[in-house]
Amino acid sequence: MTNLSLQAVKKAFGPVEVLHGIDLEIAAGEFVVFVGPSGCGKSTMLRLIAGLEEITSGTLEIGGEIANSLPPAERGIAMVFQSYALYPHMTVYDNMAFGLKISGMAKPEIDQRVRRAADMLQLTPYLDRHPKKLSGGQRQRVAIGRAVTRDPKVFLFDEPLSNLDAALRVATRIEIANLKEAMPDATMVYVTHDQVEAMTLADRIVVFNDGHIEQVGTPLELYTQPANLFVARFIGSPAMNIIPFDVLKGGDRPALLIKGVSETVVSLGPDDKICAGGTGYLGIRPEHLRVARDGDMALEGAVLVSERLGELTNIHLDIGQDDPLIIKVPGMIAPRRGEKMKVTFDRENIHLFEAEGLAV
Amino acid sequence: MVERPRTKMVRRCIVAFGLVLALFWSLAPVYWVVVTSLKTSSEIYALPPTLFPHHLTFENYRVALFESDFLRFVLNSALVALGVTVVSAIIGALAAYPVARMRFKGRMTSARLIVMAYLLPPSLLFIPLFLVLQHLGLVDTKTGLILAYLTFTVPFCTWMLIGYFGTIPAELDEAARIDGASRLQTLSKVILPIATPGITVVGLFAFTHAWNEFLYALVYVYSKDSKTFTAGLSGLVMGDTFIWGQLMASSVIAIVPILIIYIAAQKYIVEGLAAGSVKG
Ligand SMILES: Nc1ncnc2c1ncn2[C@@H]1O[C@H](COP(=O)(O)OP(=O)(O)OP(=O)(O)O)[C@@H](O)[C@H]1O
Ligand SMILES: [Mg+2]
Repeated sequence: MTNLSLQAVKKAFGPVEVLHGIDLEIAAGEFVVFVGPSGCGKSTMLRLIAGLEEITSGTLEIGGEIANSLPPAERGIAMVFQSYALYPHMTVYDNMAFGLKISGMAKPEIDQRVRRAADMLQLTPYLDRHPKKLSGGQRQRVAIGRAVTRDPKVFLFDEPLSNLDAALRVATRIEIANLKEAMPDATMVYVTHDQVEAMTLADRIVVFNDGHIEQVGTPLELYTQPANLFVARFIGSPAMNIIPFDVLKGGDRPALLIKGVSETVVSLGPDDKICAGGTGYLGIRPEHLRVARDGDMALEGAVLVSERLGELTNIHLDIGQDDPLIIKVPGMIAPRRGEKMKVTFDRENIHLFEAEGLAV
Repeated sequence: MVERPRTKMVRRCIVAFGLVLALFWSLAPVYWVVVTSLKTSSEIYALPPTLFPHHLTFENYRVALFESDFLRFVLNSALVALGVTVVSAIIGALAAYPVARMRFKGRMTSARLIVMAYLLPPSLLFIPLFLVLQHLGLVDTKTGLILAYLTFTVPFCTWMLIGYFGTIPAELDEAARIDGASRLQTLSKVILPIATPGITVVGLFAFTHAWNEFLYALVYVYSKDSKTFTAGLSGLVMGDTFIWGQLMASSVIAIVPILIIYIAAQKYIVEGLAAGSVKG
């Protein structure tokens, strides 16, 4: 059982600081997923934990001990690379046994570990093959197998599935979920671009942006209570609709007025914090919008595009804002371009953000 | 690529013509060497020259092999070339790895200095180098000659291997580090086995260079014990008399080993030249 603790960890490459003081606690046995836009520092964070890069300042503790200057092999970690990084001149067996041989382990014990891992990942028939003669999915399983044989306390995955096609990705994702199930004590840190991977695998998700953490939480927390506009836009697909609004203070109750929409849309409580700012953003997920009936308070616009995905359709609606409003409706409905539509939502599904982007 | 049949014909003709021309250009001298080595000396001087030998004779070969020191010179050449190859490959690999993979101060400077070292023309170096060898007491020894050749082959091999190592994904090194391998283990167990084609090409280059080198061989060694065949060949030119038949026969004998090596290593050469073919 090994926990990870990062305190004010910074990383600079030469004069360029790419991680600006990361504080993060990862509990023993937890499955944590790092997400964030390209170049935000996820891989760098993982490599700092692995010991492949040196920490510029701050502390990294692994299992309660400061690990800043421990060599990678002594950290009790194993890493699975996006490119597999299998040794091309060794057989599958030797790939998995390499680290154990280096550590001077006895042959029978090596053999036992390699065979157990191969068994677990259905690699036994391929033990004598070279990586060149394996499919992408098999190679990735070997890479995972190599990690498993080391019997690490912490698994690090850097986008392990992104070189696989869609079907294999699903299969290997389930494989990884099973792996976690089989090793409940192992702590896992997993970097991905894929929302589905993040949502399905994670105990907790860490959203990175530009070298800092935007929010840490369970998948559902991030979905239902994004802490700021960035997370709101990042989690969920298609992304949450963000609409700027002004607060209308006249009358008995303040209300929220969307630019370009003449009628009051949402009434607010008099003590809502948002009233002070005067402006802000309203967020509403595409799946929480629906076609309005007569009498509903509604946003109105002309259809720009209908993206038919079969089970559902994403309608892009021009409501006079900078960005079109995206509505997720059942697949039967597919209005034509230019058609007028009125959509509405429930009060409890909206997210309000103040002008600086923090959730209210 | 799809093309019209006629375009295809024309393209093939041009390619064939170019190939024939290039082959003729490079093989004609070789042909002449071989043919001359098989002629009697009267036929060699016959006018007009004959394209095929009228009287096939192996006399020149017999003399070159059994009645001169030439075979010994070839053996010297082989020893020197082998020594140069092995040392260049080892030092080259050990020097190229840090430059290609590790981050340290002066990495770029050392890389540049390596290039400069092998750009220095031998004709500029050979007097200072002679003095160095003299001080070391290595003039007229095979060791001295090896040392002299290394001044050129080591920087060259290092430079080539830096490039070659660069094509091997750095993640392999990282995976090895996580597996607990030291830098030296990473080099010997992961990088070198993958870089075999590159090492072969580089070694072959060092061998060829040492095998064919003439200037240093002529200046630094003179006794029978250390003389290489290139200098030995020049011994067959006496003033303005050329012992053509023997000269050509000796040349053919000297070409044979290197030809065999190249044919044997062909597969690796092609792979090595297509650097970047290594995939993780
Ligand atoms: N060795 C390095 N030298 C200099 N800058 C680097 C180095 N490695 C990474 N960076 C920079 O650090 C930043 C973060 O990179 P990192 O690879 O961690 O991003 P990432 O979040 O993993 O992106 P992606 O999703 O595209 O993999 C980038 O701006 C990158 O240019
Ligand atoms: Mg990355």
